[in-house]
Amino acid sequence: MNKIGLLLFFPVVVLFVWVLGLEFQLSSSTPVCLPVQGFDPRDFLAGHYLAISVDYSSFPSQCLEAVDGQEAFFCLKEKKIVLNKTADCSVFIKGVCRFNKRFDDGVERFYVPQKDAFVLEKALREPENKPHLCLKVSKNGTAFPVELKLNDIPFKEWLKKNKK
Amino acid sequence: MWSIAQKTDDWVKNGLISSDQAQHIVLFEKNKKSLFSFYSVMLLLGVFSIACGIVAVISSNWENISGAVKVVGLFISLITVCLFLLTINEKRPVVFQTVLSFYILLLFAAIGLVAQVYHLKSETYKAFLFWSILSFPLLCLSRKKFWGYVWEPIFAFSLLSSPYGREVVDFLVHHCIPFPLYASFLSVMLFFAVLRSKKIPFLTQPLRDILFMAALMGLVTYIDVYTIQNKSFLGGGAIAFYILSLVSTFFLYQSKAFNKNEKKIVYGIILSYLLYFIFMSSRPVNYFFQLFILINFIFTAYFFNAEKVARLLAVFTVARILFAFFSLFGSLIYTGIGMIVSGCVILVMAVVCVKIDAFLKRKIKKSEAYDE
Repeated sequence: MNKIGLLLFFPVVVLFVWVLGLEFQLSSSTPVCLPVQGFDPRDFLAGHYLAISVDYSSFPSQCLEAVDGQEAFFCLKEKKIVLNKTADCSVFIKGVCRFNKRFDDGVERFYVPQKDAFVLEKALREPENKPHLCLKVSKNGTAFPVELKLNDIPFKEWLKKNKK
Repeated sequence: MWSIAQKTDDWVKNGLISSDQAQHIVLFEKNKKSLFSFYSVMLLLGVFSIACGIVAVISSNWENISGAVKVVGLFISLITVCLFLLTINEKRPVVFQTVLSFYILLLFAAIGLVAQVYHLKSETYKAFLFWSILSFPLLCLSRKKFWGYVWEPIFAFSLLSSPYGREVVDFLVHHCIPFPLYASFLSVMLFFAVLRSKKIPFLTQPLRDILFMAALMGLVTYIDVYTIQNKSFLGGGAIAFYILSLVSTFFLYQSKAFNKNEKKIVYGIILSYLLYFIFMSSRPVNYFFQLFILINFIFTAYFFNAEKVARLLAVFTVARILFAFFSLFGSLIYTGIGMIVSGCVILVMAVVCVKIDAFLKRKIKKSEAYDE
C-alpha cells in the first residue's frame, strides 16, 4: 500500500483497535446489575442519553474516610467499597472517591432513543420502578453499561408494557 | 464562458493580449472539463438522493438496529470512503478534497457512534483529542490551510482541557504572574520563530495567525487584575520571563531568517515587553504600556511589508483606545457632552491614523530607496 493509503487507513485502523479492545474487555467481563439513580439527558456528539449513576449508598463504604480523588474498589462478592483491595476482592469495579464521599465508578450515561428519553428520565426518578443498570465488569475493573432494567425487565419491554 | 470572452475582448482592446491569444484562451476555457458539467451535476444529484435515502431508512430503524450492526456499518462506510479516495486520488483533486473533508468530519461521527454503542463516559476533551489524533494524517494529505485553522485550535484546547493540560495551566497561572502577559510574549516570540518558515505551510500559516491573535488577546486582557502587589521581580516566574527574553534575543541574534534592520525592530518588541513587565503597576500605566506595544506592532507590520496587518492593528489599537476612553469616562457617555467628546475623540483618532499611515508609507519608501 502506498503512502496515501497508509495515511487514509490510519484512522480506520486506530478506530478498529479501539473497538476491538472494548469488545475484548466486554467478552472477558462479569455481568452484574446494580440500582441506579438518573437525571438529565443529551450529548451533542453521540445523541440522547440518560445521565445515570449507580446508587452505592446502600453499600458499606470506606469512601467516608477517603480524600477526594482517592482510588477505591467496589467488591462485587462482598458488596462493599474498599480503599485497599484484598485477595478476596477478585471481581471489582475500579473507581475513585469524590469529595462528597461518593464512589465514582466512571459510569455516567446510558444512551436511549430520543423519543423515550423523557419517559425514562421520569421513570428513573421513581423508586417503585426499581431502576437497575446491568453492567459488564472487565478484569481490570472497568464497568460497561449493557442494559437498563425497570422492574426487573429491560427498558424496551418496560416501555412497551407501560405505553398508554 | 460569456464572461471570459468579454474579458479577453477587453484585454485585446487595451492591447494586453493579441486577438490570437484571446481565441486560444477562450478555446482552452471552452474545452476545460467543468466540475459543474451536466453529467457531473446529474451524478451528484443521484448520489445525493441515494445517500439521503439510506440515511432516512437507517434513521427510521435506528432503534431496532443492534450495536454490532451499527459498528460494522460504520467500518464499512469508513473503508468505502478510503477506497473511493484511493481510487480517485490525483485524478480529480476537487472531488478528492471534498470527500476527504467529508471523511475528516465522519471521524467525529465515528467516535460518537462508538461512544453511543458502548455507553462510554465521554469527556469532551477526550473526544476532541482523539479526533485530532485520528484526523492528523488526513490533514497532512489535504494540505489545506482551512483544516489547519480548524485542527490547531481544537487540538490546543482539548490538550489544555485535559487533566494534565489543566495542571500545567494552573501551575503557569499561579507562578507566571501576570499570565496573560507571559502568554502574549511567548506567542509573539513563537510567531517570529515561524514567520519565515516555508515548511508545512498548511500548519505553519494557521499557527502563525493563531499565535498573532493569542499575542494580541494576551496583551489587552486583565489590565485591572494584575498590579504591583501580586507581581514579583525576583520570583521563579519573573526569572522565567527574563530567561524567555534572553533566549528569544539569542535565537533572534542567531537567526538567518531576518536581516539586521528586521532584527532591530524585533529586539524593540522584546524590550517593550520587558519594560512593561518591569514597570507594570497601576491601571493607567499598564494601559499606556499596552498602547506602546500595540504601536510597536504597527511599525513592525509596516516594516515587514504587511500593510494590511498594520492597518488591522491600527484599527485594533484605536478600538483599544476608545474602549479605554469609554471605561474611563463611563458616566459621561450617557450625557450630551460625553457623546460630543467621544465623537471628537473618534474624529481625532481617524485623522491621527491617516497621518501615521501616510508617514509610515513615506518612511518605507525612503528606506526602500536607501536599500536599493
